Amino acid sequence: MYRYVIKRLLMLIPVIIGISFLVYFVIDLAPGDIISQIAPEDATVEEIQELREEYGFNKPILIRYGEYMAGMIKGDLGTSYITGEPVFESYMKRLPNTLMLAFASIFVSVVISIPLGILSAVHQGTWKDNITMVIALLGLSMPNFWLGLLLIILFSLKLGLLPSGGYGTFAHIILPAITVGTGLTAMLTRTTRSSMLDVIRQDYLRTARSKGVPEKRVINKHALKNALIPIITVVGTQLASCLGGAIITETVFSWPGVGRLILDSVNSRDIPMVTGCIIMKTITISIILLCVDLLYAVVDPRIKAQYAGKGGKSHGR
Amino acid sequence: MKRNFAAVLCTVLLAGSLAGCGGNGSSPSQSAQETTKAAAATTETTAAAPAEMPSSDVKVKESVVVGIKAQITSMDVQSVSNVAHNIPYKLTHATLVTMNLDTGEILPDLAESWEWIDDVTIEFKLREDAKFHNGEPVTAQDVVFTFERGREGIASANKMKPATEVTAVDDHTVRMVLNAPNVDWLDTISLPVFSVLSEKALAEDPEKGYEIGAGPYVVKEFVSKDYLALTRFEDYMDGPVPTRNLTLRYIPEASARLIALQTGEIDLCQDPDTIELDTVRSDPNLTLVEFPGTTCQFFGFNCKDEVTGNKKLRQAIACAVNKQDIMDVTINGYGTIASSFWGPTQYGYIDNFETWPYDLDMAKELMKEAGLENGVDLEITVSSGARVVSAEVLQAQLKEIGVNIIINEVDSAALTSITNEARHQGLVYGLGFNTAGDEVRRVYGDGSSTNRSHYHNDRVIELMDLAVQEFDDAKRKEYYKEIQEIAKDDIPVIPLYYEQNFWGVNKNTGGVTWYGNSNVDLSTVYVTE
Repeated sequence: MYRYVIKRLLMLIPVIIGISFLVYFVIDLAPGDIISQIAPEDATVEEIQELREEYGFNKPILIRYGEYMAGMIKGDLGTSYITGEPVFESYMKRLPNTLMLAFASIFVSVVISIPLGILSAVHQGTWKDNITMVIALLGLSMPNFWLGLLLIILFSLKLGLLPSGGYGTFAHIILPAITVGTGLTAMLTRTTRSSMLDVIRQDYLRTARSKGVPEKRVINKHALKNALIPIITVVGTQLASCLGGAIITETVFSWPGVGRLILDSVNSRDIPMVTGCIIMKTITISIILLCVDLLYAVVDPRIKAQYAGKGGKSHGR
Repeated sequence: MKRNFAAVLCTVLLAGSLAGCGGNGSSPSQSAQETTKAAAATTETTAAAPAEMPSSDVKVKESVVVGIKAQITSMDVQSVSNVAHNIPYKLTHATLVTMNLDTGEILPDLAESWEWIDDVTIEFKLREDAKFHNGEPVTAQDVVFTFERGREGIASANKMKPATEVTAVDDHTVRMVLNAPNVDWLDTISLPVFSVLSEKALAEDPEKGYEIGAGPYVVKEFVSKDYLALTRFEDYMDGPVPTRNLTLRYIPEASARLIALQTGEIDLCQDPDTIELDTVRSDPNLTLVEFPGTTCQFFGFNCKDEVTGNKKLRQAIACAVNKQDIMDVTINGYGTIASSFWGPTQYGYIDNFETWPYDLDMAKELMKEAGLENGVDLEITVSSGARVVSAEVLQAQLKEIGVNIIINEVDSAALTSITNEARHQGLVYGLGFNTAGDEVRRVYGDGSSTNRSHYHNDRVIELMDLAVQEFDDAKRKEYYKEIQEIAKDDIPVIPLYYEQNFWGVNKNTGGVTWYGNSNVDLSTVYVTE
């Protein structure tokens, strides 16, 4: 197990090199550079050129990338061209907000979608199933910014129950979490339903029923546990995607998360900030996905046995 | 049956969603017409007025929150100079002189008086009661230090260049020697980028010492790109301001910003969307503040380009552009048609300047003279959403004279690079004008990055140099008039319209000076309870 974890962590190194290389080069290829954003509007074209040299933009891209990576090896992700703040500091300031929103959204999603998915599977083909699937479709189809604004109008403007934006208290996270969570709910409900449908037709459940085990117990204990692997996979992927930042939701609710930081930095061509944030995001997502993989072992003893038996050479999924 | 029910339910929900997306169902042109009428009908809405202080028997709210639309990225006054930053800098820092941005009147700030010793030397007497937030008195040495530091500042270096020498005559007297006579120098140094910094504060804390100013508010907490929390400076030279805590909160989404105003989470909302102005008007708890702006939206040409370098083509296009239609569609008619590329509050502005008429026959004739009677392709580079709409209207209008517009939509970073490097043919953009006459150098000056047309005319350069050194009012205005006439003929830029400024505010708000160039002064803002 430990060998497997170490191996996965070591795999991060080429991933980080590849991602940083891609980000650095793609931003450099995009028309426009940071100098056009920071130069004062009364700067002459010559002065802009001087600034470009001062910031090292006259050097070949490979040398600039090499310098950046040399700094990164020493733990320095660089300094934002726009704010002058260290990239790591800016990222870490926003990360708690992103984590909070991501976990709250996943919580909303799991709490709603797993019971709905089970209900839908157990009552396959009935009106309950149809309504659940329509709700799932609605959640999947509804744009986040629209749902966010509707929720603000209802809960903040009309009912005055919740703040319309900002952060700092529990009340502030409710609407953004519902907004992001609703989109996730749709996918998770469908996954739960199909996974449960696979499981509830299995012979061992029929055996359990014939032995007189109550239906509730059959579904909640035997069926759900065996249907969990695909559900965990989807939750893990969704969590990873939330950690990248829910840019639209963050904008509508003025939620200062990582997503908005990255988007703003891309728009202003703040290369150190974009590259640094994406490297940090890669690390965070990789760790989350590793945790998800390890969670398989907790849920499924067969996978645990594989980890133990093969020293992590294969984890079965 | 069950399947049918599900199908019907799906259809109803989908139709509901589409109806929600479709707004009120009126056509865009119909909607634009209605809102244009609305704009015309609301001229009596609160006009811009100078700030008034609350009377002593009125209780004001301790904390006021302002919802702003643009991020504040740095509190170093010498690092950025734009509206988004000028507003907060004016709250925390003080300059030698300040200015009524509508009338151009120069007013004392840290300097209680000033005197021109000769055409290039000016001496300022500082107030002796002015203090920085760290309790230190503001001295002449701090002014000297500010200029020394500013020569390295990314936003300040160019602006400080004319002052070749800044010296402290005594503790409260500063002398500045300019490289040439400059009538606009006092206008220039009233900009927040000239805010006086505390030498001691920066020596003690080089990282954040620039936050210490002598303005009415002290920085309590600044989270870049998020919010700025301020608390009033009790030892402010003009006495403490009415509001104890003032927060500028960045709310990027216009609808969310307005809802926050409606729910009372913020007290002032910058720039509500024009389609939501009636919401503010109809809310009994809110007031819509409306005042003419000085930002001119324009259609510019690259004079260095082979196609748009053709003056006759530019003149033909000028005759084929219906500015009113562009303004109606882009900003629902909330603006004023621009006839000259000059700020309406800028020195030298000419009322009713006679520009090219909207005349398609004349336009077609000019196309012939340009040798383009068979039509021409023209690429317009454009960045943000609203300007894309303007470009689309231009595309439809110019088809009439055979100009086929190709819209190149890019982000603002790309647009700046493309225009700096003269790789464009045309662009739709905006420029905010201040009051100084020499602002013209920004648009027609050689090498200026805001001269996005890369326009050069020897006579215009000569006139700009003459005007900025001319102390005779009548002669100076004559120079600026001639520049505008030359620019009309050369037409490097077609000015389209000046945008109207809007703020939605709590109805009990007072103490704000609403300046047309958007540098709204919130120093004495208050909200009565």
